[in-house]
Amino acid sequence: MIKVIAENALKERLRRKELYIVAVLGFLCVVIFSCCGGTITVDGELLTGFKNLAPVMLTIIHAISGALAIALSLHTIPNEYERKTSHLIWIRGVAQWKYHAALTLANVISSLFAALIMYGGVILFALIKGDSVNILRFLPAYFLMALSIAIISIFTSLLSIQLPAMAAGLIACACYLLGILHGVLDIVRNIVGGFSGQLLSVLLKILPDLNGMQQQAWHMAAGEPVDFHTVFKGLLLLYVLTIFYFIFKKKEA
Amino acid sequence: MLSCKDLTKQYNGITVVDHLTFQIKKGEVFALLGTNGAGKTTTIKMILELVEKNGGQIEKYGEYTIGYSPETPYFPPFLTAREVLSYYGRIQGLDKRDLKKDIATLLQLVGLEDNRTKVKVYSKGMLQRLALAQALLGDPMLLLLDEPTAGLDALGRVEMIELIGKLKSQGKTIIINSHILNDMERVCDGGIIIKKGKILYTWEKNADHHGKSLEEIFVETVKN
Repeated sequence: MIKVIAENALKERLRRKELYIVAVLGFLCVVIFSCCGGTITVDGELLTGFKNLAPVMLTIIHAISGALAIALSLHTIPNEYERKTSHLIWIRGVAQWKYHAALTLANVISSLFAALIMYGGVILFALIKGDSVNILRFLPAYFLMALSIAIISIFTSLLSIQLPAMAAGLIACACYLLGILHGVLDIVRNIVGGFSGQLLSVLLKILPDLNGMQQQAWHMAAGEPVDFHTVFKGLLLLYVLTIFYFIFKKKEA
Repeated sequence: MLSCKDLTKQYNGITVVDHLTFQIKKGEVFALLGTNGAGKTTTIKMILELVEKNGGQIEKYGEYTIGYSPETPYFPPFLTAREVLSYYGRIQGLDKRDLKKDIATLLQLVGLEDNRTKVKVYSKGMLQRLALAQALLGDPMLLLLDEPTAGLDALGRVEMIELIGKLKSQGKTIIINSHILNDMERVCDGGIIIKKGKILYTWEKNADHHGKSLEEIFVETVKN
């Protein structure tokens, strides 16, 4: 049943041609980064070479993919209730958690697919410019990045069950921004101290370290050691989020 | 088959269904009649448990499945009628092989045999017919039809009423919410006239109405 509903939601998404826009964005990224000129070198490596530019590109792609995940996940569930498609699902005895989980699954798949299209840009860039990096490492690296995209998508979908789309979008965006600024906020916390520092400490404990996950993705791609603690924390958060599907319920269809 | 006792619903402190009490017998076609905002659709939704009731009881006697045709049906526009029925049939957990056969029968029944046209180009009448077809998936014993003739042209309306008559002859129990009183008079065995959520009149087809048509009774009741 979950598969049937998710499949249908995905079909609708594909027909809306949103993913073509994503492909164009990914292509633009490749063009911009591939056309970089310059002769400055750091440790014998060109500043505009693959090793220096790829992490920047990955950060940008991660940021765009996260924003896309919010956009792609925000309206799916509210739309079902607005169009009253939910009526024909509820009367067939489908449990709410299954219904919402199926729609979220469609959100996650389309968000990950959008991220994959963008990520394809990095691989293409690696093919054009890269020489020392093993292209095969990019596949597991994608899955590490996908973890944070899935978290964003599920979190946004969950919020959209309980809140109006606008409120859900604002909260999701705020959490996402703080999540990708996790590293920066950690530095600020160490600098400011006092009450602000304590407040930031609490925030950093609650918010997922999306920046950390993206960094691990790059470490994997570059063949550097990966901090699996950050990855496991992400997986744990994913698990915790899924529990909320049994808690968040609509009173009326 | 079904009884509602003191059914009540409020939205933001405004009572839209006010202590409705009625019973529906097996095999009966029952009409919920009333002007716009009378509380007909809300009553149907409470029976279907799509909205929570604030008071009262709904008792369903025996185990049976329910089919529902909404007032403004929305179906994924990129699907064909066959795909829509397949989608809802699969959600319902119907057997794949039986479903294929049932879909062909249902599409023929509602006159939507053309299996290539996408729902996005359907007229309101075609959507209504598709909505009825999806309500009939799994051969439910109780049907709730919310404005099934809305948007249909004269011929479509006649065909729909004939179809409802056919379903009645198959022993199905049907609750219809409609504005088209002539149609209701033809096909229904009984019904209630509601205004502001309250029952004003209980109509029975076989009772003596002193030569008055349902339309005349309705106008008289609602105006007073």
